[in-house]
Amino acid sequence: MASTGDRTRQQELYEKYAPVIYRRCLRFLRSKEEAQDATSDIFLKLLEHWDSVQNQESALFWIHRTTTNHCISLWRRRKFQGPDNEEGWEDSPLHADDSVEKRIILRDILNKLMFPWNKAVREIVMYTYWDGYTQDEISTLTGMAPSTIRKYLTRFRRQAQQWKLEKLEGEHAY
Amino acid sequence: MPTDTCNRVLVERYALGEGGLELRQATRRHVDACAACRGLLTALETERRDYLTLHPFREFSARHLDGHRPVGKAVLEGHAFLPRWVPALAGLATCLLILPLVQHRLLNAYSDAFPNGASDVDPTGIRGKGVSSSQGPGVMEYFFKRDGQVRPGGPGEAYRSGDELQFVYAGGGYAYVSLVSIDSRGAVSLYREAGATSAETSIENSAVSVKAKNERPQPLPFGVTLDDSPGSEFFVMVFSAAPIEAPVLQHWLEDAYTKSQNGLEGLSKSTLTPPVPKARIKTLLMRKDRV
Ligand SMILES: [Zn+2]
Repeated sequence: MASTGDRTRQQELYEKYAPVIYRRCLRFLRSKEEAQDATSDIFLKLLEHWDSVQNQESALFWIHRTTTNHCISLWRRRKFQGPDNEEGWEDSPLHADDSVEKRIILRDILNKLMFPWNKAVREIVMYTYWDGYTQDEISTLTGMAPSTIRKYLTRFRRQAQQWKLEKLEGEHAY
Repeated sequence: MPTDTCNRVLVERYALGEGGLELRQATRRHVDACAACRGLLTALETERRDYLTLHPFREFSARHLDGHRPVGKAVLEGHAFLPRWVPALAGLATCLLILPLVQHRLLNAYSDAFPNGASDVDPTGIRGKGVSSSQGPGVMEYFFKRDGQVRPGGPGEAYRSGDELQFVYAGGGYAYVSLVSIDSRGAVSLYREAGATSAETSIENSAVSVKAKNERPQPLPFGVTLDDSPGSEFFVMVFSAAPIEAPVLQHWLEDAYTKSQNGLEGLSKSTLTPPVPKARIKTLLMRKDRV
């Protein structure tokens, strides 16, 4: 961790990444206070693992993955039943246009995703339905081939059928 | 990036300065031509500014980095400050468990070494500031443990990384005592007791002061293990009537260090004004050998 030991470097990293982490945590957790706590935890993790994070193609991807897993584990720990609170939803410029219907669908999906699930599939599902990213965008973020992304989504949709999430049907195509 | 397709991830990566030159140029061209992506970029920038205004780095740093700075010293106790370091400090945790015993031994060693009490001798090289040690109140002494041996600290002693320090104080009527240090790179460390409750240290206020006991010389309820950062470490013990907030101590020592003409050496020779009114300070410049 020697590379992030000095305060100036830490400050640079904080000013660059903490706002990104916070935005994502807020989308997951809704509460500004909880999002702030999670941001601190994740940013400390980033400092701790900076040597490996900076060697990755994209720190943004590391942040997406770490934040997603961190927040889902928080949900599970507190048995959170999905984002029933709408507050904070509009805070993100990425999601200002989410419809009420889509939010309900997301809530249903997220409730299901609270349960153990293949992590790689869950990650792609989150990017698709939670973040609303297109397959191109997910490919840019993760470096994953679009065909793999499609395969994962197919698996998830098959599962979703069993969950009788019929509402999802209209939301597939991105 | 095909310049005719919107890709929010690329805009986000662009905002973070990620990606090679070619990719960044292509993204810039797209953003310049696309109102939606330009709007997103602006929103991301605004969001960043707003966040940093509300949660500046110094606030995060005071809360999460001081006292357990990554390449700084390990703090023997104080998991309130170092939740992430607890596993790394497993060896030290053993020391915590035996701390009551060690304290006993330390205090015995203390009375053996200083039968007349600490107030009339200064064998440790600790210099009183604001008050001479012979007048009390507030005495700061220390012992160190190396290779299992507890010895009183003394002048001219060179310390090594791994040495465990146990500070001893006499409250002299002050209600609180705080320990803070700064190393030769200007990094401040704050210390507090592991698992301390608010009754003991006012943790809810982020204060790092320990409630002083005044009957006789007392060891601080935590030890300090020297890390392998090079150069000296300048310790300050602050005696005060009320708990002192962590950021107050931190900024006070950082400021003093910045004003020092000659690093820690200069700082140890200067007359420091206490961080809060009616407080007393004791200082100690500890030289470290690289082993
Ligand atoms: Zn665009």
